[in-house]
Amino acid sequence: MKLTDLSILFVAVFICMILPLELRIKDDREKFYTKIQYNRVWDRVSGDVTEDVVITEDSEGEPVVDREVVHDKFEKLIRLTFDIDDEVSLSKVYDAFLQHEFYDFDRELSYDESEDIRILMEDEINMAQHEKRIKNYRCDAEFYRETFPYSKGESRYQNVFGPTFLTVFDPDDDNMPWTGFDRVVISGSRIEKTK
Amino acid sequence: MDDIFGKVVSLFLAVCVMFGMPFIYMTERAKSARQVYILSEVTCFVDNVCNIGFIDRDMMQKLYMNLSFSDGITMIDILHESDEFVAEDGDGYTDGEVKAYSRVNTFRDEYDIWDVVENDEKYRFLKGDYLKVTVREENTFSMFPFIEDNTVSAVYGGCVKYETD
Repeated sequence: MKLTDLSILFVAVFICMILPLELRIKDDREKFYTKIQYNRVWDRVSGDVTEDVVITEDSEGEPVVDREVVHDKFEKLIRLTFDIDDEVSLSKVYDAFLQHEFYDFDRELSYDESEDIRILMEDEINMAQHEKRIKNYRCDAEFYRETFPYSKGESRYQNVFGPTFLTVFDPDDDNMPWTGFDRVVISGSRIEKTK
Repeated sequence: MDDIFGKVVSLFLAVCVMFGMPFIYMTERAKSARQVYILSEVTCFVDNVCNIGFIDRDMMQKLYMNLSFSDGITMIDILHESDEFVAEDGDGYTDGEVKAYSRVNTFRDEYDIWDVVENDEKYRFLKGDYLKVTVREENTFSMFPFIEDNTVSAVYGGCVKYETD
């Protein structure tokens, strides 16, 4: 074998090794970046959803939030943000949501109460994950702690209180050739009534 | 002769690899930085407009200037969606009667905004209107031309919170 043949072989092997690396770098870059982007978009969306909430009163004079208006607005914002025209794409986006719900806590919860709700919602998230067949090693408790902070000593100080809109968005990674990075995005907003 | 041909080919490939690869990684880093930069600029613009409720010429020029320096072509799309109530001109309405209004989603793009802004007027938004800015770069450098690189892009939108008089 001549030296030139060896060098051509070297270059061919080198390119074969570089090409997957290049693809992987691109993929990683896109994942990190889309996570930041989704985070900002959903923060904004969940803030806008609670902007025009219609609050009525029931027969006993208690304020009632019109949830249909909230969900209609949410759907409209999804459609506008991602340029969705057809129902199939919309259902795909909805499939990526582990949770998008409007809760109404009429007072600040105690530790035990929030713990009960936490366990209940953890089960919901586990079921949703099971349905989506996500094969990764996510620590559900850690994941949920951010969604629903229950302790004042945790990194997020404030407990949920009042009408609150929470979204947990987990885009499907099945089509991605490389796995290993979790793009879960959590956002929420709270209505605070001031005089 | 064969040996000379082989030497030329191997030299060419070696030069491609040795000088191309560092350049690739530097451009990848630059792309990553540009992505975050574009997203910051777009977020800044949209939040600004949503809080003050209008766009004037300086704001548009600043947005275009900040986004326009790059190797490739930067495409900027602005979408303004608003719910408008349009009077229906149906049959059966007389003068004294209240006319029926129907709700219409109106979409406007950056050309409509430029038409207003170029005359030194403010393009005003109503409260609850939706504004979205989409930025994407085309013809950016890529080592393998068959792999499309659409990663340098940003989408951000939000509802207008404040309405000026």
